[in-house]
Amino acid sequence: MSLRQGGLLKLTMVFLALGSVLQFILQFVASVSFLPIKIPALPLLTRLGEVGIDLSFVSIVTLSFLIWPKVKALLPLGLILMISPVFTIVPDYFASPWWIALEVGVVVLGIGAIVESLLKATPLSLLNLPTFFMVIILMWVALDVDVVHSEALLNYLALFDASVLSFALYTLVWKTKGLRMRRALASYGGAVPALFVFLPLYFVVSGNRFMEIIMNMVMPSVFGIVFSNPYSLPVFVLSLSLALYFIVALALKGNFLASLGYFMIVTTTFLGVNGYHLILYMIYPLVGSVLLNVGDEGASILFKLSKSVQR
Amino acid sequence: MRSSLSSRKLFLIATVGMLVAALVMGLASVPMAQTTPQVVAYKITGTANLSAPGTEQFWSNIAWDNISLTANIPQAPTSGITHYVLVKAAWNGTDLMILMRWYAPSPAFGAWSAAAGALYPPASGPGLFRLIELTPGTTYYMNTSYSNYYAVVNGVPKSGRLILNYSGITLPTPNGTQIEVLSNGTIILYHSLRPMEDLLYNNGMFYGYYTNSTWYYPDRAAIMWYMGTVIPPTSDCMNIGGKFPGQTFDGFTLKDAGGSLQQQGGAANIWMWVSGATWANKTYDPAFATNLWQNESLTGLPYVDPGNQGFAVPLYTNNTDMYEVDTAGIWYAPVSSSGLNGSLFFVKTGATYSDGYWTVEYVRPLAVPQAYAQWMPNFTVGNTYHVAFAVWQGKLGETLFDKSITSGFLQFTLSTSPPSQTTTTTSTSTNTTTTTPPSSTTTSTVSNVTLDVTVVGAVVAIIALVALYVVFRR
Repeated sequence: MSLRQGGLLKLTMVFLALGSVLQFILQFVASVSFLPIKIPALPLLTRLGEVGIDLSFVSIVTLSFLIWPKVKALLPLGLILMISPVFTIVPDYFASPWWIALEVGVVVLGIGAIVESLLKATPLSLLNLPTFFMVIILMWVALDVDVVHSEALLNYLALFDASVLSFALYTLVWKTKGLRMRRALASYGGAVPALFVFLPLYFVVSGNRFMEIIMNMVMPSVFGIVFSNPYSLPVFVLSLSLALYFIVALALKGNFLASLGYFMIVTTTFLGVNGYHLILYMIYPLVGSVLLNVGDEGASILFKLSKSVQR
Repeated sequence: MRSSLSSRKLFLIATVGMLVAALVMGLASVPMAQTTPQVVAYKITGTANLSAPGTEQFWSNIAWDNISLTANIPQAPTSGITHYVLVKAAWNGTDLMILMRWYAPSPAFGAWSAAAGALYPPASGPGLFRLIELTPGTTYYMNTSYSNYYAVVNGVPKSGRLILNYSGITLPTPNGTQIEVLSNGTIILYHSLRPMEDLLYNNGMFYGYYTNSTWYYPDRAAIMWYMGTVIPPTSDCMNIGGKFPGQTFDGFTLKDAGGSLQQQGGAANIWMWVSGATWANKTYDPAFATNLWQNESLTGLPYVDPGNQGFAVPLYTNNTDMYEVDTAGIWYAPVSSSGLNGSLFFVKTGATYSDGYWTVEYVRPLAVPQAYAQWMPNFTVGNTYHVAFAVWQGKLGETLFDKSITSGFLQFTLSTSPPSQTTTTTSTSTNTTTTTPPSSTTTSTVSNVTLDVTVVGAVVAIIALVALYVVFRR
């Protein structure tokens, strides 16, 4: 990758990170705005969230074009996303059977991109297999709703917990040799504030039944997740806190791409339970999965496989 | 140096370009492409036969949408009893038809609606007024400093104010509160008022509605059509609260009205079918058994149910309150004091119960009279609507806000295409809960066109991937 592309990629990542955070804020404030609490600057946050969605759209399209030489399946995915608003001019476009074909195509291309990026990633990325499994399962769930009109009720929390644990392991193992101890410790220490974004909620819902009841409606509304066991909320909040902690820790350790990728997955993948509603949201966790794989440097799985075959 | 300069220029152009693109999209409100609607009404030829819902020929060509339901009150064991509802939708140019079917092992035959019973006592049935089971671990004591208060415990009047206590949270109850303490310590609260439900719920003491063989509630099914301005809506939940916003009840001020929509800036039209009031069955529906809907003096409406057939109560909810779209206000406050002629019976229904399943068919003209348009949506081709479904099994304790609902709104649209031929697949699943059949067989049908385009989508994507890998294999 040339210097220019490298700089452009970094810029795109910054915009994508900004867009992702802003659109997540929109997801969050829209869901908690009905609570008897005053959200400061609600109209401004809502507007910023809408800008975040547009920024994410532009960034994902740009990102797809920038890294397609590395992950070729991203090119058609980026093209589909780029032209998707044009289809909205066509009356009733979403009711056409061909729109189903497009959605299926997006999922197949997305799975292709995940597999391709995984093969070209270092063996360390294999630790994230539970996350890829979760993303693909949610894609299937979304297609199940959109195409067959049948909602699947699975234990989504188990999928999420397995994913968080694997991501935590990935964060801990990433660059254990190449990184100075001081930097690593600073990363884990510096990420502690991220732990407290959601962790207080854990203590609140564990000891306050009223808040547990309220948050039992808010959290699924924000993330899309459906609990098969209604008493799972504290576990979900705890998992969410850990996920955010390791996302920030990994970013501070230096793997910004993977941390952003995982953030994109956590905030959007469970929207698949209700069919994602937007093509952008469908592509979001797919691109996040690719970013999880492209953030590391070293001999790829494919390279190691070909070496072992040659021997 | 030159290279560095041009890199900087490129960087600047890219930065500005992306920001401008995002800004233009935002300012111009460029719509994002949506996914395929989860519920589709197909164009059909034919009309509904509400005396035999679901048996019309056109339904056989339409696949069931299997929609998962979830508990409205996650911690209450009586909530979320119905795990899924099957839905079909069709339109014939003038009417929209929605078919719902769900498993109900204990149908609430003969159960009555308190609202209908209040109009005409003969239109009643088994004991119904709400009995609330309090959360296990809830205890009570009498605060005798309230000398002018009394409570009834296990049928015995006691002086003082009854205080409920759960995990250190105390809730003083109104004067005259009546409870029964079962042998296992469970407390049943009698004759609770709507604000009391809110207080119990907000203090973690609401465990569910209590039922037994002679005391239960009607079965219900509802369809909610989102009519708010915030798109897409994120929540289909409704507030628990008082009879009106800001109601003062026994020293407590309740912020919301029960039934008002939580979604900020949201509003919705609801079609509520009630087995004990709107089911045209003279044997099992006390309201129809007494011809209640043919009696203008009892209903207070200047019209009767044409043909004395089943209907769905049209409701309207927004952030303020829940209303009834008519002038009588039998269940909820009326949206208007005059006009709206015929609105209560505007959404017609037919319902049957067989083989453990309820089947309810809703029919409504696509276009609503101008007078109703503020509270009911017009359905037109090319628009996306947001719909949610809810089911109550009254014999198992579901009533009012204790129900099974879709986890969020689903997208709904009218298709100009007729339903295509379908391929039927049968799957068998086993459930371990006691409220669902030990082994249920679900038949799902997928149209051949859907199968074709699914295959086409997958094949084209795979070909595109292979072509990319071959052409750019380096």
